[in-house]
Amino acid sequence: MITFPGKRDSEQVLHVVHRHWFNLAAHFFILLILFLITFGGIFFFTFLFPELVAGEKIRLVAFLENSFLLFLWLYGFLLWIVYYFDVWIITSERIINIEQRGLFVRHINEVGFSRIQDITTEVSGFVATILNFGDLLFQTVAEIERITFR
Amino acid sequence: MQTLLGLLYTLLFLCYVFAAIFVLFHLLRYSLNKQSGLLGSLLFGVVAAILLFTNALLFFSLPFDELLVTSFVL
Repeated sequence: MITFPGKRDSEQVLHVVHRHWFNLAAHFFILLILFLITFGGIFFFTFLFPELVAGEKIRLVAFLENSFLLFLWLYGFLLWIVYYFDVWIITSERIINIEQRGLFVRHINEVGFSRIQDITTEVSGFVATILNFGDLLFQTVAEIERITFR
Repeated sequence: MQTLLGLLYTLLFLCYVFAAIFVLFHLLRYSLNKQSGLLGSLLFGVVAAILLFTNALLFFSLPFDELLVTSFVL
């Protein structure tokens, strides 16, 4: 069941919108390449630099590989957090926009349906056109307030 | 030299631990679906704990005397 802090008893969560998966995939692709290099390195070291994995030095190589894997694991989840917690929650009464930027910046604002004046969609770029994603801009009654969802 | 490396490693290890704690905090605190949040934090926590443990083991099993001598001779 989907719930969030400040949820009113009367409202129902209709939809939770995340950014398009391409945003995450682009970052995870680099992570995958690094992951493959780490694992591939274990095998390639044996063939290309046998002196590096001979004797006691194998422990150093194992330590470095382990440290790098740990870094990738943490970085992967950091990317996941930025993607997964950056959401729009559409309820029966309002839209809640949660922007997650890194681990320490979290910005939340909400707009009641009655305050929405204008909605603009913008699809720009080759990949965005092919995969059908883009920006959604909300102009609210307050002049300055403009909410963007990518 | 060994003490300096030990200190640097402790610093790096603490950074890893703090990063892992903050990731866990986010997964548990901000998940919209508590069940998937628990599952995600369990997956992350178990793997991170194993990697941290093996990392510390590997560091303390490093033959510093041999490695440092080899490096300085080269």
